[in-house]
Amino acid sequence: MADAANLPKDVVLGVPILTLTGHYEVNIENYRGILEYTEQLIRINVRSGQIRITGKSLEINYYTTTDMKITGKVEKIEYS
Amino acid sequence: MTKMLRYILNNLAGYLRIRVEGYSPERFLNLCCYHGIFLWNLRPAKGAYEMNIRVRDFRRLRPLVRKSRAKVRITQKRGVPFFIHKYRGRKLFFTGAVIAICLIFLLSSFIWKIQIDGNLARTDEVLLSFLAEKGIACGMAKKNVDCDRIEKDIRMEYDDIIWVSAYVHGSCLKIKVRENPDRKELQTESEAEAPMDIVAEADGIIQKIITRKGAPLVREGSEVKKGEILVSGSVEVKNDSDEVAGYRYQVSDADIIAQTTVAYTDILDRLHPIWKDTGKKSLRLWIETPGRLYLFGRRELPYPEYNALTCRYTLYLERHFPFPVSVRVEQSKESRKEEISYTDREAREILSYNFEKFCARLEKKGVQISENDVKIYRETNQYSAKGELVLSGPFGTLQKGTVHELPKADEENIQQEGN
Repeated sequence: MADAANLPKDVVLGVPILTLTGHYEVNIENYRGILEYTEQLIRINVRSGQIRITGKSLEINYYTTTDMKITGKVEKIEYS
Repeated sequence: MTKMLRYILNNLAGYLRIRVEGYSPERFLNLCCYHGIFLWNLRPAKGAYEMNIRVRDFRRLRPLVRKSRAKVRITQKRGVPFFIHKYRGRKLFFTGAVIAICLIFLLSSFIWKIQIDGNLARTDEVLLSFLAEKGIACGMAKKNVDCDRIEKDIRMEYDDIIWVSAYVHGSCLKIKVRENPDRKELQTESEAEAPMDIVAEADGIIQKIITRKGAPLVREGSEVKKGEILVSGSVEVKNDSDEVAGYRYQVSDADIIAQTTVAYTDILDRLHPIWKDTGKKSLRLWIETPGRLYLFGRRELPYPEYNALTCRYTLYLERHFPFPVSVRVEQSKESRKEEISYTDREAREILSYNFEKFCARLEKKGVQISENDVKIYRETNQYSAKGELVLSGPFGTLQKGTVHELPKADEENIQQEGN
């Protein structure tokens, strides 16, 4: 339906958008909140479930209602 | 850029580093996010979180803290408001800072330096004194500088300056000029109203003469006396009956090689003074502002004769922004004059060195030395190098010639005479 209406999917479906820069930086938009945050693991609540980001010395640079930026060494990104 | 801007704004407004502990700190983070509270540099620290928060957002935290049952503690206070608060007792410091800023603003509205580039024929001082006459000098207000006017004035005053650019950079007025080095030569060539002769500057024998302009009066091999005309700038114009009808004036031009005899003498006194340091030293300090000098230290040095080294230091805020104040440091050492006599060998070396330099100078001018009988003599109180040199080289100097009574020959006159 989103395709047919030519609308951006993140708006229509409310799915998260992840932008990766190498493995040092992740930008996340359209999320609901943080479930867990340690230096090795960040769990983020999104509409369709959860995103698990594992890595080393992860840090949340900033954190607003619309987006957040994570820096550190990202090793894995999983959906569950 | 936005990152930098955010950093500056946060610093100006002040921010806090807080530590959040408790049952579910994540819930606290999500609540903050929901209420639009901006958090940054979030970092987990042993079961708690540390983050930065703005001061005005911190005041809104109370209900959220209660709801999430978290414990919030301020670990650091950063930014300008906290800095000022911490040092609020130091009134003089803040007054000083404000005065400094005001002074920089005030002083930067004046010209503190005039820099002139590209002047080869005229020194900076000449141009600066000309500018001073026109009211352009160090210390004047920047808004009174009229760069177009300066450019025009300089071009009007100096004929050989063909291009001028003036602009203000910081508190420095920069003037760039370009000179025309060919101008003088052009003028002499076009001037032919009066004759210019080539005359002998000394006695000699002409070895070679090639005339380009003017009438040669001497030949190869002829002996000439000082002041004799070699090439005349007035060329006779004759009519059919071989009478002089008039003169055509020219600036003479010729290559003349002549043999001349020159006497050489160089005298060296046996005793000569040298300055010896006695070991006494002293330091004086001046503070220099435009037109004034303030001395720190003794007015008179305790010894009459001394060697001094003066260094001047000017403080620059930036390369083009010198402060109008500079410091002069003078280090002086007492020195006494002592008379020492040369040994024979030293004297000989000095005299021969001088003679070699003299010869080298001549050779540079294109003069050849064909004979040389200069010898070094030892006298009671002095040494001397004396002798005669026979030289052959360029000869003759330009001199204004005499204007003849007969009319200046022009085309019309000659035509008439011819008919």
